[in-house]
Amino acid sequence: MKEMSVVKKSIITAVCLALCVVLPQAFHAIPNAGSVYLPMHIPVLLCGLICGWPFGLLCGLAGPALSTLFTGMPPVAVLPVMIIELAVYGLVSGLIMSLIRTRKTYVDLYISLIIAMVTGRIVAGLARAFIFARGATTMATWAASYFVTSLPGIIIQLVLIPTIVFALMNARLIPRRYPKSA
Amino acid sequence: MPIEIKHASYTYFPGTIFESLALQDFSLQIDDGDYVGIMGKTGCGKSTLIQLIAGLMPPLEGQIIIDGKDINARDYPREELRRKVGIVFQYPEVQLFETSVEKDVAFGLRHSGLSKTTIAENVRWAIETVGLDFEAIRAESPFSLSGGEKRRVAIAGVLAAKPKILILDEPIVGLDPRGRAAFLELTTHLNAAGVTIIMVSHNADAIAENAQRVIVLEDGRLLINAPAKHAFRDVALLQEKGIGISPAREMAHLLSACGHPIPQDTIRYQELLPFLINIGKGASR
Amino acid sequence: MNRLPTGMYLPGDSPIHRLDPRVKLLGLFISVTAIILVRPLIGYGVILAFLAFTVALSGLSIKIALNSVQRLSWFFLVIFMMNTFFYSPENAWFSWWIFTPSSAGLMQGVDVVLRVVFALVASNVITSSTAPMEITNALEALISPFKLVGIPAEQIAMILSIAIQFIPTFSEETEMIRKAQTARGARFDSKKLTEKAAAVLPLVVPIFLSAFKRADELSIAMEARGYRSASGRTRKKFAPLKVDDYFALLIVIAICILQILIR
Ligand SMILES: Nc1ncnc2c1ncn2[C@@H]1O[C@H](COP(=O)(O)OP(=O)(O)O)[C@@H](O)[C@H]1O
Ligand SMILES: [Mg+2]
Repeated sequence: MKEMSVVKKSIITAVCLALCVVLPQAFHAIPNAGSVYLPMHIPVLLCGLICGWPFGLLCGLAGPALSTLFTGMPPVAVLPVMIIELAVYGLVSGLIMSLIRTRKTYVDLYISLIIAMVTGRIVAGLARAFIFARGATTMATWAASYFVTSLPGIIIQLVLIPTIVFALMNARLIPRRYPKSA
Repeated sequence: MPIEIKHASYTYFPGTIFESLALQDFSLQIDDGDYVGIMGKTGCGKSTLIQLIAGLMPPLEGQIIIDGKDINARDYPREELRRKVGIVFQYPEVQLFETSVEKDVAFGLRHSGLSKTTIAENVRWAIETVGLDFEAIRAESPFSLSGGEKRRVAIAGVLAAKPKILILDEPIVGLDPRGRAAFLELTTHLNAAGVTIIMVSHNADAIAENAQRVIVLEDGRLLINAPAKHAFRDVALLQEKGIGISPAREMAHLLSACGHPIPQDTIRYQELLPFLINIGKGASR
Repeated sequence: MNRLPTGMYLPGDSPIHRLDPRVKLLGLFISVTAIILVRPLIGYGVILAFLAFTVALSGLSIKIALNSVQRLSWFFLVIFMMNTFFYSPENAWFSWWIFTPSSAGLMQGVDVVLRVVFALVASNVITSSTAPMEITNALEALISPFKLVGIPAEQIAMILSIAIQFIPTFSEETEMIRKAQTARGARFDSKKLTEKAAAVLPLVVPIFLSAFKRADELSIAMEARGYRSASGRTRKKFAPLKVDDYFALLIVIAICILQILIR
């Protein structure tokens, strides 16, 4: 996307951080929403895609901590793994987005998102295994189970995030990635 | 049949340090086809009241009865309520989300069970009713419109369900005088077609000029419930309570204090005008 | 929903409540390190005694200190079972399909659960006795030395404080959007996986649009005032540390060193 100023990127990051706290609360009313929609992933991935990896990384590191501080959720016990997972999302989505340019915005978005989401889940699976279980088989079981159980979330986010990005572009709140194209 | 609010109370966050009493043993009846203006200082419970009427939250005590049925009863059909009661919040344009104006306006009808053609007709009617050119705007992204157009589209999104009761919470805040006039005309036009209008506003002029009945709240209780003509009678009381008075009413009050015989139920410009002309004639003589 | 979410904070006037928030945050960090380092049984005893002492001093109830332990009980059970059944095929009681339960695994399960509960209690005490705003200010102060290694601590601090200021506003706005869409007949839940995402679009898209609109307005305002970076921002001044603060720090550091020595 056309370069935004550092000030603007900083404030967008602040806004995404605030949404890391607010969005999960908003999903409270929907049954089972937390585990299906993974609401906190959305602002972090968006922040990485839109502002680049340093900002995405910050959002992933600070978002879950801020949420625990202000709402008590996620509980402290799962916080470290969540921080690692979200930090990877913010970092990788931003990195890939800056590396690839297919001249189609949605293709860039999908590639960056998929790589970020898969890497993040693998790392988080390993981190969980490392913290909560020792021994090779235990770790492998943990990592695999985590990856499989979070697949539906991936599909939902693949629909949600590009839709939000295009809505933001249409509203001229973020610059288009390529002049006048998809 | 009317809207009946029976001894409704509402408290936010009961039992916590954030506890805040918003509505207290509140009873009120609103007749079909009425145009009700609701006034009161910020925090007196206006928004809470209308959200209870729209069924967005149940009262902690008491009942909200619409067309003879308790809307919070377990077997009450929610879908029916959503179509019967429309609510336009302050800055309604934030609710836009679809890829085209047409789809956004049709959103509320998605679960209505109406036929495709009826939905299309309703959407066209709603967009034209808010004063937009349907053919020109139907395929536009709602986000690329101007501020005023966005608000109109958002209001069309509420009107498309053809609600019998239309609730408006501070609808004219942030509009320019022309936008205000056009919006208020739309409400009177809908009211003339039989829609019950309930409008919350700080703007006493807008209420005096349009409402038939005025309700004033104070600290979650009913302070005044009277036909518009009588609601503004006690100027001293309203001023003491910090409630606005329409300019025409204020003028009538001042003129009568100066010895000019003007009826104290004068609240609109149209009613004031003949007296002003008379006084003017007297002065020039 | 809420106006300003405050998480678990319970105002009070205990010695723990009165500690400097920087000391509390640093102390939490060091205690968690000690909990990770603990090895011999007596080490667990020391940690347990320390936590019990802190909870008693804070005047918080046992229920608060153990907050979310019960909620996470299924999670602990899973950790425990996984470790017990999968830890190692060596010295297993028996081996069936992929399961190899062993006493080493059982001990491992107990150990992991115990450490997590300890860490949970330590952070519950801190988050229940310190306002979120104070913790963030403390965090700001604690990360400022990172400037020396090239991390833009001041900019991070600015981002964090803007984020916190946005939380109550967004909270109210989100609630408003939810109500507006509900009144239009929105249903946010759907059974089918493919429709689940579409079902929440009316909620999520407006939330992001109005949030980014605020970001846009604020950044225009800041740039118009010639704001380029975070320098020159006034940071909250903390009162100098008191005797209690030094004493508290000394205790946690001592416990942490002890855990290293007796490993
Ligand atoms: N979401 C909320 N959370 C907590 N308190 C609220 C909330 N909304 C309103 N209140 C409180 O309820 C009272 C009535 O508010 P409201 O109905 O919004 O009044 P009005 O619309 O007349 O300004 C106020 O004291 C307000 O602080
Ligand atoms: Mg209000």
